[in-house]
Amino acid sequence: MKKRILSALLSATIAASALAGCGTAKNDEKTNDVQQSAIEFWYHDGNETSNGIFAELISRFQNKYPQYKVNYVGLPSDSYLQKYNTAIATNSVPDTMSVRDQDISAIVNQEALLDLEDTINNFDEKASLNKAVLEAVRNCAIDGKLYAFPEYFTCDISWANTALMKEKGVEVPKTIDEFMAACKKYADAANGKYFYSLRGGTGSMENLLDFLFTYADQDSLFDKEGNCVLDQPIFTEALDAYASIYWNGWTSKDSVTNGFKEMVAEFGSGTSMYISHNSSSLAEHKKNLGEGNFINIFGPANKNGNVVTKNLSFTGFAVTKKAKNPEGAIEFVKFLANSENQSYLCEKEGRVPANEMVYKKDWYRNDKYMKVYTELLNSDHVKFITHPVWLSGWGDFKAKYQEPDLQAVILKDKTSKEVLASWAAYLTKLQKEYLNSNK
Amino acid sequence: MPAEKIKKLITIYIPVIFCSLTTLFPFYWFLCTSLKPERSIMQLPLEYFPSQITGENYLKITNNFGFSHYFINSLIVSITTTLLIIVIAIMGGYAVSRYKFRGKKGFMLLLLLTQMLPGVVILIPLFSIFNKLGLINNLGSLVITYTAINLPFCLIMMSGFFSSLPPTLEEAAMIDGCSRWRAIFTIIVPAIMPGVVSSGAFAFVNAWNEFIFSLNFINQSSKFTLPIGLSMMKGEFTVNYGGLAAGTIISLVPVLLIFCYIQKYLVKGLAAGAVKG
Repeated sequence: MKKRILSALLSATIAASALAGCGTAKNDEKTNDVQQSAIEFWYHDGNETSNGIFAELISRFQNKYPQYKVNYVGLPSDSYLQKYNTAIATNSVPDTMSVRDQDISAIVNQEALLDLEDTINNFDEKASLNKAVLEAVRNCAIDGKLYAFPEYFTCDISWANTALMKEKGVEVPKTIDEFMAACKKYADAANGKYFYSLRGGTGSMENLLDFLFTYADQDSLFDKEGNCVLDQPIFTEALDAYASIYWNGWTSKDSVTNGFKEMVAEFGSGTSMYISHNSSSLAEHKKNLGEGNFINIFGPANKNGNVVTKNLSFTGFAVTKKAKNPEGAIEFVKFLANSENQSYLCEKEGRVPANEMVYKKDWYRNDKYMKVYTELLNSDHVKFITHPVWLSGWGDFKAKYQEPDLQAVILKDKTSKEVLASWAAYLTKLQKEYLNSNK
Repeated sequence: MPAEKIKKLITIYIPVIFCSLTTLFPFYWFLCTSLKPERSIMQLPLEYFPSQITGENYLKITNNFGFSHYFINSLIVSITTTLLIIVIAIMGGYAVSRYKFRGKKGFMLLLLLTQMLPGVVILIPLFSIFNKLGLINNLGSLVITYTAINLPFCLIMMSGFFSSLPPTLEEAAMIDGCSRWRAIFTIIVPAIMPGVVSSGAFAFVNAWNEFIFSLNFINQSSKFTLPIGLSMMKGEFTVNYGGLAAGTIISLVPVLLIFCYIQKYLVKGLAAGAVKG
């Protein structure tokens, strides 16, 4: 027994010694006679594809700038924000990190990001950065400054399983009336098959607002005084129509809790043949349905022929205020944003680039999905509604009010009118506070 | 069929079969999914047994995803944590059980109180401490954290086991010439082996599954642990169902092996610890 205990203690000591060897990498390293300074880079979605893409981009960067060494850390997409917040709270931020439009306001409020206005103004390809995306970046911060170098964006769009539609003789609906008729006609609850997958769970806001505002043919959540318009009767009518898809059994019972995964899985398995999502789910549809069996299309239009959809939702790269290597970090984000590298990333990941020089590349011009986004951006019949990501309570609103309330309406625990009135009151309060603090 | 057999069937066999099926089916489904080609995972009608069995998901996560790093890191952290906890809990449990000292009740209460704090509350202070010690991005920070978090429960459990044995046991050994250390490790510890095994299993499983501290204390992909690796199978707009299932199966193996080995001790240990002390 004594021997066993001794060996256990010895193992623990050896393991502890081994752990002690796994120390933090030094900031500066000397390789091949070049003094290298490290750039710590965190990416919010460290999946298999993006890890490979960044390995290539970092290798290109290090070849061009041998004085830098990039330490890449891919993070889980559903918990990266917690790591960012811990790092900010403990002054241990990376030099640069990816940020999404919905994150920027909260991070800027913690005074963690460097203003990139000058960097972007001095960027060689500044003229080709998509103006709407730059505007979206400005909208994210209360001071209207540019805190991120936009890399790519997503467009809200509809996806249709054309192979299944052809088999059943279904036409792709172009208007809300046609869409509702298709939902009704092709719902086959007995066999668990439906036309549409409604999204009632996490992330339901995008689909909901696209539908409500297209129905109402309006494109702003607030009037000039900062009052939220959702309590207008037209929105009650619209929400009733939206919820009726569930009330009438035209979508699966599970739809009430459908998040991205569940909705895309229903579409990918043939449970439904039409969903509303954004451009970034392309890879999943290719994997599940196979190329050639589906298309991306505009969402259904209202009686005036207009489609209202969420403003461009971007992802970019930010440099932190407490970066140990700000010069290197700025050089790196500029490198990632140039047309050559952005093109590589967007082509591999199926993203819509923020740098318009990429639109001239062969792959982009020949990509049938990208054509739809170009059309969407330039159409006279498409209006964009900007989600108020500048409101610090916007994230809370979605998680604590909008999602549970939408489910309550779908399950008939609350009425559309009362829910919309409470949302309008809440958002009006937030917006007026924002406007007052910004005076 | 005799009434006794029918009664047994209704009250024992049917509930046992039902519980086993509902518990085991998710595991079976994970195994099944991990052995299917990516394309057929989503296909309807569902295949309850894969028509085409493939190991591509296992190969993919091992070769392309750095899964072996995550696995080894988790193994290092969990085993070291378990060993440390067992050693410290034996010594601490013995002291609490056998010695009278001022503030003993308060100390025990304090140990219990540590179990009531959610981990996330101590995240930032711990991070700052480890940062000053240069332990951030070091698996040692995880070992220390997991040991500190799991130790109170294991120590309390262990002291219960020590209390279940009469002090005369080691006193007799000491009269025969044993030192106290020898008496503890050669006479007492073998007698409370179920308690040692239960504490070890508790510590191992908790360390193996922990996510929050691992995510925040580690800043290098090759040092992430299994729960982080598994979490990265689900991207912002993509889900690698095959990889996720294969990764889950792999991560279950050590826990399953441990439980197979310690099962006999565990049931005995938990029951004994529950009523004594």
